[in-house]
Amino acid sequence: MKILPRMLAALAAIVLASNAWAQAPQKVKIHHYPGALLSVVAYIGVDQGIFRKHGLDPELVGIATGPDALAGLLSSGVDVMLNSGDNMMRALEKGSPDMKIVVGNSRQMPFSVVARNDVPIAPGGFAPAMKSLVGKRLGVLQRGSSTEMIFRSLFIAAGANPDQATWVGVGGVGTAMAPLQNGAIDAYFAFEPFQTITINQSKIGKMVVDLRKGEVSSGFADFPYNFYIARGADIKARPDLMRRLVAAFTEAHAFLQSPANLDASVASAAKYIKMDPALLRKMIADNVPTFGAAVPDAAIDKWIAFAHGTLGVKKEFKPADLLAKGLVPQ
Amino acid sequence: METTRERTGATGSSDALAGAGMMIEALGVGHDYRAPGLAPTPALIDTDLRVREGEFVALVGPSGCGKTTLLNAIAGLVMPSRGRITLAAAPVTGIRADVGYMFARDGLMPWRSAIDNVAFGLELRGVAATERRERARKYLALVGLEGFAEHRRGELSQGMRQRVALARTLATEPAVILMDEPFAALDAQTKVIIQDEFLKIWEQFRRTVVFVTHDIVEAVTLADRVIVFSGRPGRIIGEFPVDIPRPRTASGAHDAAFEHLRTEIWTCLRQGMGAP
Amino acid sequence: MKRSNLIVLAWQAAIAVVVLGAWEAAIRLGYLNPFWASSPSRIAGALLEIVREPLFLSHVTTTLYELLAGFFIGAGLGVATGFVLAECPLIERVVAPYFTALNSLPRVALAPLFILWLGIGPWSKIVIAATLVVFIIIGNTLAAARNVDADMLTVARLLGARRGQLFLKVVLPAAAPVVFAGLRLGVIYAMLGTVVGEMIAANRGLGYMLSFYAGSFQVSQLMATLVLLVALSTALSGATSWLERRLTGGRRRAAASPKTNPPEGAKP
Repeated sequence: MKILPRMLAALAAIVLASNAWAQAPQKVKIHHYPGALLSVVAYIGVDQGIFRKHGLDPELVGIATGPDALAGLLSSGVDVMLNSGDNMMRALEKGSPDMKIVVGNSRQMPFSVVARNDVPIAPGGFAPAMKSLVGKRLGVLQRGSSTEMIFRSLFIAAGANPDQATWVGVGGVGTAMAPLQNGAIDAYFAFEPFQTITINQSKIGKMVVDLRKGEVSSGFADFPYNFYIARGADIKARPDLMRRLVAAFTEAHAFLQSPANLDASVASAAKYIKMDPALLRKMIADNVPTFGAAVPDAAIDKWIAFAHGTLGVKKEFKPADLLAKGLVPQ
Repeated sequence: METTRERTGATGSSDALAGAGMMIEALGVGHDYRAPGLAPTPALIDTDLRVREGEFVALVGPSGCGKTTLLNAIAGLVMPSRGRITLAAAPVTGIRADVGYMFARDGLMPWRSAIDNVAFGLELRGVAATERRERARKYLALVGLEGFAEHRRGELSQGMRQRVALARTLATEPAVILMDEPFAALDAQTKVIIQDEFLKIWEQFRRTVVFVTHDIVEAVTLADRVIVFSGRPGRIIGEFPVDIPRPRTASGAHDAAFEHLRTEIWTCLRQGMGAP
Repeated sequence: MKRSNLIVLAWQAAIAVVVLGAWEAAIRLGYLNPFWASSPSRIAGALLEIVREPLFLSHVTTTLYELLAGFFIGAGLGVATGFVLAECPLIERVVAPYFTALNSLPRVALAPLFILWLGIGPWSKIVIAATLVVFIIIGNTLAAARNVDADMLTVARLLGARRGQLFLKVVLPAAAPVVFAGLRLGVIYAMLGTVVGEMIAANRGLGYMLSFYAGSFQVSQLMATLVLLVALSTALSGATSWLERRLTGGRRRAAASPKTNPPEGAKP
């Protein structure tokens, strides 16, 4: 007789589960940086059907620069954006509507300074290299964005004056290569696949400073740089959607981390990132360890300290101000 | 239709000599009006006109009868389709320095003072500034505006503006003055006053004048001879010498001779318009 | 006359006070979030802050230089071309369709192209400004020259004016007021072109500043920079009006419409 309750329970579970699958998937607009390695987790999530599996109907919305993506989030053009901690902090301290980190992305700063081959760069390390860029035209994602602020702080760290250079907003990987090549800019604050394409594929550029390798100082590289962020109001209003979203992203992260899935990950990425296939594979394989879903308090503390100390963020945030507690994996 | 007063002189022959003292001679003048896309319509047909030096001739006729066209042909503004015109023994081929022209609108330049407007013709001929201002002042005084030399167009009444225009026309001392309804835009009282003054001025200088008007009373008041045109296509249908002695006045009462002439001209005009 | 001027001024001041006051109150009472548009008091503070920045003067002079150079080049070319086209109707007819096509092209959209060709120094902004200005001025000047009172031209011709005299003594002074109105508009467009060019790519200038403040969410500083741009634009427009009065005012007082009361004792 004990079998009957068990069977009924199993039947109920099957019915309930199938109800969940039978529910229409919830629409969600996910921001990505077009053609950027940074968004690979989202690309995997969409292409491998992971979002669908969690009952979500994803739409990828491309916005090339951080501040514009932030505007997109605040205006509900996207439901979740990928953005840097300092862009987020700058907006929050100016009084923007509430935003919270829901899941992590890059575990470190993904940037390198790439110069055109003919730009003279003094040898001897970070400081002489930065000083070589004084008076040059420097490309960043967008004026006033995180990329410009960090690039400026490199000059200051090297003992040079950033105002002695010319700063130009040239957008992301899709739009920044032509200016570097034709001389409109001399160096670019790059993130993948820009470095791999310009240095290894088209061979028009060379590495000046690679923040990923801790070439500045330890303080520059060892905290999670960007995250997936959602509106605070939305987190409160649609908790079920947010839970599913976080679960899907976490699963996509895990998919990327597993060596067995490398081919599948590369195949998914190839649909969004256009470059030589062999170089793409190598680039993804090399950068897998730079991604992670978790954002522990200690890690975000480091970011807050850096933003406050070096990037001119005035308010001293606490982790709870930035993290969606109970939602974000820690 | 001919009237009881014969047409004087004109034979219509295109090789008539330029007679002694003939200031203006228009022979066989005809002009077609060309509207785009339509066949040309004749505005003026086979017109002969001879004006002696110092004579004041008025042209009257209904609208569209070609009198203004004839005037413009004499001025050299328009090349007539047919016929030829001689002025001061030289054929008319374009605008002439010895011809003055005045029409109903003053055409004053609002950014120039009255005296600078009057001096404009002299300025265009290269007369030096002091001399041309002096001459302009003289002509302004002649039209009774000596105190208004520095006034602008916007500060002058309509009658005053036409006087400035008259002074301007006279300032270049042309041998022939052509006038196309110059007083038509003025109110009745101003018109009479200006006609009076114009008569006084003309009787001083006795230049050759060809004067186009709709107003028969004006024509009889001012002219030595009134020429009547028919309706379109226009041709001369009557010519009336005005024997009223000078000096004349525009503001006085009109005597029987005046009224008789007026009636005759009016009858001729009406016949020319095709009235029953 | 003076009294009505005072009344107008009083109303203008009242509107400014009411609008700014309501805005400030809305922010302080919490109805509006300053994140989006800042507040008058914050903007005033930001103004003081940005004028004290070490490179501020350099930014202002760069923008001014680019703007004025672009304006004078565009206006010079525009006025000359406009008058030439008015004098030569055949050329105008040939050129007209190209002119219309180029005019309807949103030339601000060409800004990135100019930057590609001319780099991020001042010349790309000067050219952007000049191309915006030149088309407006050509169209305006052409219309002004064509609409010269036909009677004035006829009178001049009858008095024996040759072509050159007609142009210098009749067409030019008659067209001047409309041409100057076009120039005032041209100044505004020169500013537009310069600022847009600087926002896209520059190394100095008020547009360069605008771009930075926008990207770093410094809304107060952004608004303060806009206030400066408005002040600059207004000053330049006023300067153009003053120039017009100097050049033509001494020779032209009353408008073309007659006064109702001619002087006493004057004959009609």
